Amino acid sequence: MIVLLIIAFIGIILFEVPGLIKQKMWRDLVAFSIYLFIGMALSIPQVLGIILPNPSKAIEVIIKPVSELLK
Amino acid sequence: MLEHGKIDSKQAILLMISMILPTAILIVPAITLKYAKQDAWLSLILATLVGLLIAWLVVSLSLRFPGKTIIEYTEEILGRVLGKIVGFLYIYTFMRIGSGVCREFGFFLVTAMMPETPMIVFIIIAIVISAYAVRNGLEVLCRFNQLFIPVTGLLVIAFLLSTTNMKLTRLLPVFDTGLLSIAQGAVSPIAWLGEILTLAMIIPYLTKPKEAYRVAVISVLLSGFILMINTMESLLIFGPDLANHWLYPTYNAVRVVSIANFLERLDAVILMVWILGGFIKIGVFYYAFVLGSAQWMGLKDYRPLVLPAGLIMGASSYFLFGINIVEYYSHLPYHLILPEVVIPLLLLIVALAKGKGKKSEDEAT
Amino acid sequence: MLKFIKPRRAGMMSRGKSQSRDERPTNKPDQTVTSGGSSKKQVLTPDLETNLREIKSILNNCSDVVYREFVFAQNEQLKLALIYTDGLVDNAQVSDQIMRALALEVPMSVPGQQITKARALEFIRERGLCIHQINESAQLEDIIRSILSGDTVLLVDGHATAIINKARGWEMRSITEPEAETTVRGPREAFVESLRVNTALIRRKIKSPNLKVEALRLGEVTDTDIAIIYIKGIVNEKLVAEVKSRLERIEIDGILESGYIEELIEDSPWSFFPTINHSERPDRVAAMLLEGRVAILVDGTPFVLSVPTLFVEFLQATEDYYHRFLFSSAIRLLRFLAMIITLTLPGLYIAVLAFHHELLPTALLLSIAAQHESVPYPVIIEVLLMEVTFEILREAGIRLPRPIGQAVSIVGALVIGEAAVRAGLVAAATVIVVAGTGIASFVIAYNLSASLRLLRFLIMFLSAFLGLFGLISGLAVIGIHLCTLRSFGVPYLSPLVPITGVNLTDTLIRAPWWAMFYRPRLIARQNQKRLAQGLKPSPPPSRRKG
Repeated sequence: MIVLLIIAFIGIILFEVPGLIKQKMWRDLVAFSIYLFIGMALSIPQVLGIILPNPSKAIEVIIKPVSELLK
Repeated sequence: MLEHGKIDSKQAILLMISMILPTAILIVPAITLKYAKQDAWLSLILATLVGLLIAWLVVSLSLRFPGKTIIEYTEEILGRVLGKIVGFLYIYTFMRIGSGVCREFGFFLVTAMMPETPMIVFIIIAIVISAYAVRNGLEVLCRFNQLFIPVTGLLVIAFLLSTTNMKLTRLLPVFDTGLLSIAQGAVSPIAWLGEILTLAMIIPYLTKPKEAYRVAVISVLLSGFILMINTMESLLIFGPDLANHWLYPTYNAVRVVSIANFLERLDAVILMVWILGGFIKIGVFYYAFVLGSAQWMGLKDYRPLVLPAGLIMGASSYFLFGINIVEYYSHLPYHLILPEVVIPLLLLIVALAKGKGKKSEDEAT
Repeated sequence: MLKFIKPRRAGMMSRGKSQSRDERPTNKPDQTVTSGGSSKKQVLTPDLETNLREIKSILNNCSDVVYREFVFAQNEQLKLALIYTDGLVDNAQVSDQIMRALALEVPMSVPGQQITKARALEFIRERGLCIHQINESAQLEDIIRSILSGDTVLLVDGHATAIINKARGWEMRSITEPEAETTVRGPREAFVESLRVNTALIRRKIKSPNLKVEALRLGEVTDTDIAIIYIKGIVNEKLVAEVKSRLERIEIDGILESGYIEELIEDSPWSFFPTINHSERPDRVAAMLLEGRVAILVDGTPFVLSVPTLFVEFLQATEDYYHRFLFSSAIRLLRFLAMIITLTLPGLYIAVLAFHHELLPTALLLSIAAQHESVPYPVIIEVLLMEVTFEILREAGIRLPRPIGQAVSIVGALVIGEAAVRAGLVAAATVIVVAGTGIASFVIAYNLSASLRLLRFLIMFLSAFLGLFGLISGLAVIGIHLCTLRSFGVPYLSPLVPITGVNLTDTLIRAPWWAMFYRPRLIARQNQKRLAQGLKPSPPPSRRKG
């Protein structure tokens, strides 16, 4: 599974990066890298079975009073 | 501009309906029936009215800033720093809804169709297909939607066939559940109809932006109407007590159709249409997410972001939502109130107070 | 670049596209002097001997070129030479109207001694030749090209100008019935291999001065004649310009069929779907022109390209417009159904049998399951086996000489299918599915059905892995792909998507002629109206009263 994921990453990089470099779209390249990094940071732990803290829970804490009110 | 394509009002309406309904028709009936029982139709009327308000809010706000999406004009209203934060919140919202839909998509297919296939397979394929459409731009997404709309005729046929199982007496007693229950029942359809918010990303690309009001109103009315018909279908066939125990009453309503021992197993039809609808729904939020991100970061092109963004959505569909999908459904509406209602309202108030945007535009329409 | 033509010319190609067609040097196999480019182009000299030597040196070892020297008007001073390619000229015309006229008939009216060397050319041009069309040229290049295209070149001693006589005439196939697009009702003529005949066939249908036929030559070696045909006033001028610019950028050694051009000018070279249509029927091409399209004719092939091309064209036959509209509409819907069957039936069969047994009625399921009991491998293998066999049979049927081909198809289909079922290699239901798919694929236009046949395999694999979900996913990808396609700027799926209401009259149905008011909106942008309103026939008022 992890191998497939890495192949997918390499595939995405090979697909997009040469074009970006050729057109000298550096800003886009940085954005692309950031997103790819976030994607990696989110997906690799999933595959390895590491549980990350879920931001939804934090938002739920804020939202709970409202939802209780309506229930 | 990042997007060069233009779409006309009809395409926009169809796109908005396809964006709201695919998941709504499966999930909303059960939740609404749970609270509002036989008065679910009242909940849906209420929800449609609120949905119209949200639509009005979003369109009024957007039309004050012609040619700009919600990501761009928040900055103009709130200033650079605060605007970026709110913009980020919207990007996050689009991503969150998108990945939520991916999750629902995968989960439904696993439960209803192919229990032995891992969910991730469905999610990956859905994202890859949507990515293909999104990379080709808004025009292609709309055209694909238009191409698929005639297939929904099959759903209408399935509905008509299921009328044989309906009993109108299941609507009685009317108005028995009380206002609070009706209001509670309305919350989740409101959340879905409130997804009309995505229109704020699309208005600049309409051939006639002034028709945005019409687009929003017709989309919400039609979606609300179809959702109501759909809830009634489950209600009239199973009654309120049976229907709310299932996760997907609509699906079951079609499953029980049997005409002359020949026309049965119509669930395959609903599945087919639903899968296509799912691709489009994911596609719209995916598009909003990617276009929003590109605008937020000031890029020249959104295409390079498509694939990594798909990766984020796919990973988030596992990461953001726990195993318990039922819990997710009941929490979802409350997550959406903030970006769908509260923030647009605040933005409009601030914009009015600061006198930003075109005023005449607002009054003229 | 273009090394395949002649390495020596590589240096010249650096001038690239700025070179206009006429300046482009023709390929001169054994010439070493020229190839200097437009500035040093070779021209004729007044001396006949030099000219002949020059031409002979260029055309040496071309045994099909004939040189005939004789004298004009029985005057020894006035030497002439005829040069032509044997087999490309009309022999009777060359000997009667050129040689006989010049050598024998002129002296009967004007004594040969009166004609001076200086006035010879004028005399020949105005009184001597009985040829309907002549040109003059001093450029060696033009002369060589004319000789090789079938013209007869007349060199006159003392003049640096040659007369080019259009006395072409070669053996060609006569106009026959169309082979690829047969009809029950409609004209029975098809294009042939000769460009002139083909343009004439179109001109015979459209006698308007607005029918424009623009000429072009393509192919560095073959120097093939191309004609771009359109109707001015209906066609979108930008489209014509676009077609021309796409054609002009072609630099290739040879064009032998319109397929070469098709692949060099299409919008999406990687697509499975054809974005340029072709036809061998003059009536169909005329109809295309009337709708504002541009036709591209290539010398040497009966297949004429027409652009822009819409997806629905492949579901329409010429005949649809000649039969009564209700029947035509029904047939079109049938073709649409056949298209869907071609694409999805094997996939659906695999998906249902491998994943979704519950979709079949119980009785049918039992019978199919019984058939499959003896089959030792999964459905996908079984279907693939049959599909590949079927494709091989079909190919064999096309490649083999016609009488044998039919025998092979029948023997193959009947005997192999029957035996395979008996032997328990495949289930009878599989044979039915594959055969049904194959027959359905014959209903659609050949180039679309070719792409669908390929895509069918994609759908089959997806269905084998993911059942109905795979099938739908495959269809979605194809659908999105179709939405991205354009043919010369026109969305491929229009007028269905994006929808143009007035043009839906001629898509999956065909409205009666009195209701098809408009030409395709996205193609004929300027001039849309096709016929007058209120043409619907109705009984005369007198009878209505009675």
